Amino acid sequence: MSYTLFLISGDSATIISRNNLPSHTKVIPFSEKQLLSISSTIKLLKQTPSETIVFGMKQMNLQRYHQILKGIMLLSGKTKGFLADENGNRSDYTPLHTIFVESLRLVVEIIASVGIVLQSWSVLFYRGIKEKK
Amino acid sequence: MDAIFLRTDFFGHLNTGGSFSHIAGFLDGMEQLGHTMTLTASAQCYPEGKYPFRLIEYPKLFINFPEIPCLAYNNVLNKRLPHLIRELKPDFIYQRHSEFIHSPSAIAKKHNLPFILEANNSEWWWKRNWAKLFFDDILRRCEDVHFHAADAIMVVSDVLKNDLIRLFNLPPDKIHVNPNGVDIDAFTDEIDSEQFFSELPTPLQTRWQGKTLCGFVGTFGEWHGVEVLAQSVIHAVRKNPNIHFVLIGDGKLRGNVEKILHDDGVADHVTLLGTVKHHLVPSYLSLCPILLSPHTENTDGTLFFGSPTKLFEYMGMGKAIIASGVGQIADIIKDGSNGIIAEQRNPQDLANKILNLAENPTLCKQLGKNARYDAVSTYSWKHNAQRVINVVNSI
Repeated sequence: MSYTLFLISGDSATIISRNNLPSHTKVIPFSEKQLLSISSTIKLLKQTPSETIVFGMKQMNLQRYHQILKGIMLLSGKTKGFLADENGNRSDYTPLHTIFVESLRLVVEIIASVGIVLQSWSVLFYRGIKEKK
Repeated sequence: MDAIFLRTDFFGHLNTGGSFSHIAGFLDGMEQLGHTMTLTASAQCYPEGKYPFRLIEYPKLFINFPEIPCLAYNNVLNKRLPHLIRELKPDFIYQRHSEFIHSPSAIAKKHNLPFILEANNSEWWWKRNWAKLFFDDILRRCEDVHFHAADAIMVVSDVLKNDLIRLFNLPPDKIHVNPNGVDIDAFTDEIDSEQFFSELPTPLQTRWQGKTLCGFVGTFGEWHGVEVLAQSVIHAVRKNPNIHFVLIGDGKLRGNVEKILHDDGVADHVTLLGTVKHHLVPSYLSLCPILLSPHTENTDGTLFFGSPTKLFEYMGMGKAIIASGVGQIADIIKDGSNGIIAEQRNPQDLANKILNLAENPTLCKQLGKNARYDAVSTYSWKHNAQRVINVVNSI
């Protein structure tokens, strides 16, 4: 089975060894900024012939874009992949789980995020008036 | 006194770098003064068990979008911090400022506790100029209310103090300059460098034997001047091939440095050690009679507002320092007394200063002795902590 590791952060050798990936895994540096252009990221993944796609990072719980990365794997037609970190933590990707579970989770997060932004803005607006009185 | 130290950033576990040294040094300084700090953070950042620690994690729901987790962390703090205050009954709250966090000042006010904010920059200004910022207006409002609500703001330099006054219209007497410091027991002139050298791997011993080593430690950021340092190598080794450079650290500009050294054909005169465990850094520095701090003004032309921890660590080592006279460095390094000032962004000038010191071991020793004296008498972490306590007592 062939693997390609898109390295978002951290050390590729550590991620490969802690997640028991083959030593010949192809490593491609990947920046979070590339996610600003989702279409070009999908194109990049489509051009990757490997069977399994791995997004590697330093620490799983501090990495953003989990569902977005899985959504990109889905839209680029990949069927196998996972997110992996330097500590050996993995978050598996499957098309069905992404469609029926992860996408719903993303919708919930979007709604909650809008709520947080509105709440923050109103709290700060109120505190701004109060602090400067 | 008892206090709560809030580390509210999103960086997770830290065990190297300037911010780690700063937090660890400050906590050590407070302990030496007999004060108890309970550290809270979203991940452990100090050797476990050394100081009382409470984990306050970031909310797990927000893992897809930038900046939102920090905004949401205010709600977590609103929930957790009052319990901690009731339990620990601190005399004051101290927060290391981080992006989008504004609730601690309101919580402290509600509990009638002095609130001290350590601001190492304006995150709004920093992200706006040097990074990607999505919620510009909200971050500006966060800092505006938080800075105004704090009882005192500790900053590392006069440049930063003036920046905050200008950006947020803050009263000058609220902002106190507290330069970074050094652990004078770890960064000391008493390290047995010969013993350490004998324990090094043979290839390093062979490479460094009989050379005049010039050391640098840093995270290879734009303002560290590491590219200028790389460009100075050819000028120095062309005239004195016995000079060898030891660069400790890693980061964004490492690739540029490697390219410069390769293009100039001087890679053999430089050892790029990469990241070294924090406790080994003093031992490596002890091998170098000359230490380099070639900082530059910010790339956008604004003044250098930092207070480089490495400068104080070099001073603690009692070595000859060559530093650029930018920002606070010009106030701390007195040219010809406790170090040598080089012109910023001038590789030729830096090389000339290195060549001069390499031929004057007596001058190196005198400069190092004076630097060590200043570190011990003014810039230890204990002094840094004392300046905070003085501010708390004045509120």
